[in-house]
Amino acid sequence: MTIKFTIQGLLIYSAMLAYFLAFLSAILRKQKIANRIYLAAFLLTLCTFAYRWYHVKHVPFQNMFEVFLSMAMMLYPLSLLCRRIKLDTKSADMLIAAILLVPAGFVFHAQPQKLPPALQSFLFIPHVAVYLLAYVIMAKAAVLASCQIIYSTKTISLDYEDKTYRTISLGFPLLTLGLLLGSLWGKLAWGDYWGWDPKELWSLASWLIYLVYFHFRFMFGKKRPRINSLLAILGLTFILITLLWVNLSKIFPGLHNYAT
Amino acid sequence: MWLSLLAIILFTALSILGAFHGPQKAKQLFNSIPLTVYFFILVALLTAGFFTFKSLRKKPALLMIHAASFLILAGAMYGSQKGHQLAEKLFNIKKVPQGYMAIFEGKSENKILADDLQHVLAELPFDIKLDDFRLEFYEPEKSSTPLLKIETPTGDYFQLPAEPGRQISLGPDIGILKVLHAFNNFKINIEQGQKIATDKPDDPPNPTLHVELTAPDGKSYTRYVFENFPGFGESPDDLKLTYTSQRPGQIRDFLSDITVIENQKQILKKTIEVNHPLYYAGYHFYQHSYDPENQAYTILSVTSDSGLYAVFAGYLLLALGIIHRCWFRNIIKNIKNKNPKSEADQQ
Repeated sequence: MTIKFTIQGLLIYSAMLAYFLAFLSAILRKQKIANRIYLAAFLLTLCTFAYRWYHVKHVPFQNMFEVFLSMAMMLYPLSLLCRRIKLDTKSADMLIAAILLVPAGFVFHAQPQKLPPALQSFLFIPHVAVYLLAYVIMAKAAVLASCQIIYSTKTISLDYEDKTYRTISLGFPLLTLGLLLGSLWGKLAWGDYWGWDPKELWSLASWLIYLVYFHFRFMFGKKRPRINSLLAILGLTFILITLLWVNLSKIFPGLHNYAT
Repeated sequence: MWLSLLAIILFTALSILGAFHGPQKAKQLFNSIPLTVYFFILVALLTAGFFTFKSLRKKPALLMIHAASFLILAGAMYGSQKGHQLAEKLFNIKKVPQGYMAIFEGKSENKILADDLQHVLAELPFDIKLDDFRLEFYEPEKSSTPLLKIETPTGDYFQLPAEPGRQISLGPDIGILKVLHAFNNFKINIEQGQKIATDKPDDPPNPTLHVELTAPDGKSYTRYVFENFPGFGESPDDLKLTYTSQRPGQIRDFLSDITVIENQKQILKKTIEVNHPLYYAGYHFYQHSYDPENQAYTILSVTSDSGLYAVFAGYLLLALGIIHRCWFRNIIKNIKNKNPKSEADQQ
């Protein structure tokens, strides 16, 4: 664990604190204050993102520090979008953003890195961007699924189940695009659209588990809400393995190990 | 439906199993005979699904998604090693699924080689000539400091900014290494019978470090570390010291300038680089490796395009189908729900 005594680090810690305060205000039902702090936290994260972009001279999507920073930055606009489509989970979003900044602030190094040849592609930005957005949306879905399990005895649980389904429906096309763009990029850079790399296989497993979710829900609808919710949580677990374990563990040597 | 669900669960489990086995073994697993049978069953299930479930035929999004899965699986099977063998037997299409070409600068080559770069897999009906191979580097960081890298006999690595006064402990058995002086252009002058090290700025540069090692027993000695002549000079210890006066820039790109020659005619010229392969006569040619010492040759990987366009057409259909099913269906539903209300308001 490292503490970053830099402008970038201080911005991250301030944003993290602001997200957490916004979350506390929201659960204390001080909605207006929560909204203002949430906006301030987003602006701080946006400043950090822009600073990083300027500093490394490429979109900060390359390593784990940049990935977690970018995901935290995506949450506020996503909250606004979700509010428009009646999937408002703002207080959960505030907490997710605070949690996402913890690895960026304390775990991963912020050493600027130049893009290796394979990453210098027009597909770098769309491939990573859609995946990060999909991951954040699926994290929201997993929070909703957990609420469904927690409130399983109450009538509100079916509402959570429905919201989980709609959130996964929002994220699944992005997850698909991420997988397909990655495959296309693999063909351009390495000569094969599928290289059986551990990262690719875990990404496929993550995609397939949501496919299982859709088929299961098609078969049983809302009759088995607990299994639906467990599949949504399992989906996020697979995503976490794809994002973290595969890149950081020596168990999975492969072509994606530069992204640490 | 249960069968489809079980097939997807099995595919998920196999993907995880493959991930634990590494790319080589995973490829072997997914190309094995039991899994070939499994993929045929998956294709059969998809085909049966079109006849069994009306919704798959009537709902355009579902039709696209399932037709896409069919296309991707069929394309991937056709593009595999066994698919190529089958195409050769049935249609006499002789293509190598994957291989390599090693080409020296100024030479032409048409042989596709196996992984060992020895065994010839096939010969192409045209030649590829390597006009030039080059590396491009990022500019070195202005702030980067000179470095002294130390490798101990036990294989431990250390590095130290090569600035006078800097020192590092190499452990209780070796002692402390200290940088005494850094020369930009090291020369030895003999003055009054004594060897004196000096800097001569006008001659070609000879960056050198003067370092001192103090052993645990307190005895110390000094030695010179030459950047241009690593390992040169007296060294009473077994330490391997490397001096880099300026950190080299990181490699930005690998580039092979090539010419395609067919029937002794120059067909095209192209620079193959990472993310920019050459496509010619049903094969893609990629920048794969190179001669790290003299950059005298390049190694291109060669892949056949069999089944590729079916797979990519499947990708397009899959993306469109899923976007339609998950996003546009709800938007259309919302618009339909809003319209009657607005019409009622108008009345």
